[in-house]
Amino acid sequence: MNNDINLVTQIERRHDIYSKMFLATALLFGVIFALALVLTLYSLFLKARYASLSENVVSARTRIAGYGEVKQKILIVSERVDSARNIISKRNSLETRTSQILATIPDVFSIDAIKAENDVITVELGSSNLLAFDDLFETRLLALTKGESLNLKKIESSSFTRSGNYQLILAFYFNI
Amino acid sequence: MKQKLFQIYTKYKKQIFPLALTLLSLFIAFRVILPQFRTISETNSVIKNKTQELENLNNSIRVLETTSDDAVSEDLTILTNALPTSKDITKIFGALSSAASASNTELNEFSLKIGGILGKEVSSADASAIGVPQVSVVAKVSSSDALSLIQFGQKLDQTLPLSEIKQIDAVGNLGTFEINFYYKPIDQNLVSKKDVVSPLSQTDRNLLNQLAEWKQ
Repeated sequence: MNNDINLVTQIERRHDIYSKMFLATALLFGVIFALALVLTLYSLFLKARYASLSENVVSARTRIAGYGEVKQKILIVSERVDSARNIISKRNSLETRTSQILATIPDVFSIDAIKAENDVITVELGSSNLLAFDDLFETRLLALTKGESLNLKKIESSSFTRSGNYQLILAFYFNI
Repeated sequence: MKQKLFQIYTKYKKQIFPLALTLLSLFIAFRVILPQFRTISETNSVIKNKTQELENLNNSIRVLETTSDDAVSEDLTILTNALPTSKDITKIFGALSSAASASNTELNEFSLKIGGILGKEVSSADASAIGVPQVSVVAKVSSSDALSLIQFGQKLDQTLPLSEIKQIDAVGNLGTFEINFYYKPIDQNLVSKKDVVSPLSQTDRNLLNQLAEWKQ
């Protein structure tokens, strides 16, 4: 029977709810306030660190300015080394390619004319020995096409004539 | 009115405090905490960049402290021979003569298309695909045979100033070469603005040694 008797009045129960509400909101406020405080302090710390770094940067720049002439020379050297490397690596090596082609032509031929451009090298050669042309076509030029260093696209014979000697004009085309 | 307000206050006193605290908490969250997160993130990013900048500058100081003026002047001389600061006709003639002499050929004549002489900017006619200005030269060379003419080209390739043969036209013992000689003016503005210097790598050093060998 005792269990059925409610000793807590309505007013006291409301008091209890209000106290809990107050505690909960006070706790929330406390946490948020503390978080805001921590973040503000951390932000101030970061700003102080940034200011210190900026001072160090200014100081380093001042020290570098003291080496004015050497700094200028080093920068020019670096810039020119890059440019020189760029030029050397991108040169078309026309003379090297021409030289490689001429090296495959036997001594029995006379080199009468050479015209070398970026994508095509034309060589005019002559010989009194017709058999030498067979060797040139079947062995020498074949070997040249198999080599990959020249990056050859095709070899064309634009004319073969006989006026005293046999004259042949060969055009070597490259993949550029 | 005042009395009415006091009555309301007395009646809702216990609800007003939690409500006020909640509103204040929301205010702090939106006006302080959220902006601080953004500020902290931005400041961290700025600090990271500044630290990198300082590290680069400190490295530059180390490079400057360990580089001797004589050594860097020597490197600069080699590179100025490789890439003259202007259209240096004397150096071009020197390179052609040197290549002719090394390949047993004779330099009969040469002509230059000089183009612009003064001006801060490189004219479009002088600009090359590589991005370095050039001077076009036509050189006529004679030799005992065609092979020597090609050798002239090969020697010129390994002579300073740096050049590139664009066309060879050889008939009999006479060869006509169209050559581009490269040069590079010094951009003082660009150089004076830069503060970060880096040491030359081993590849750069090898290239410098090669250029020193190619010296006229």
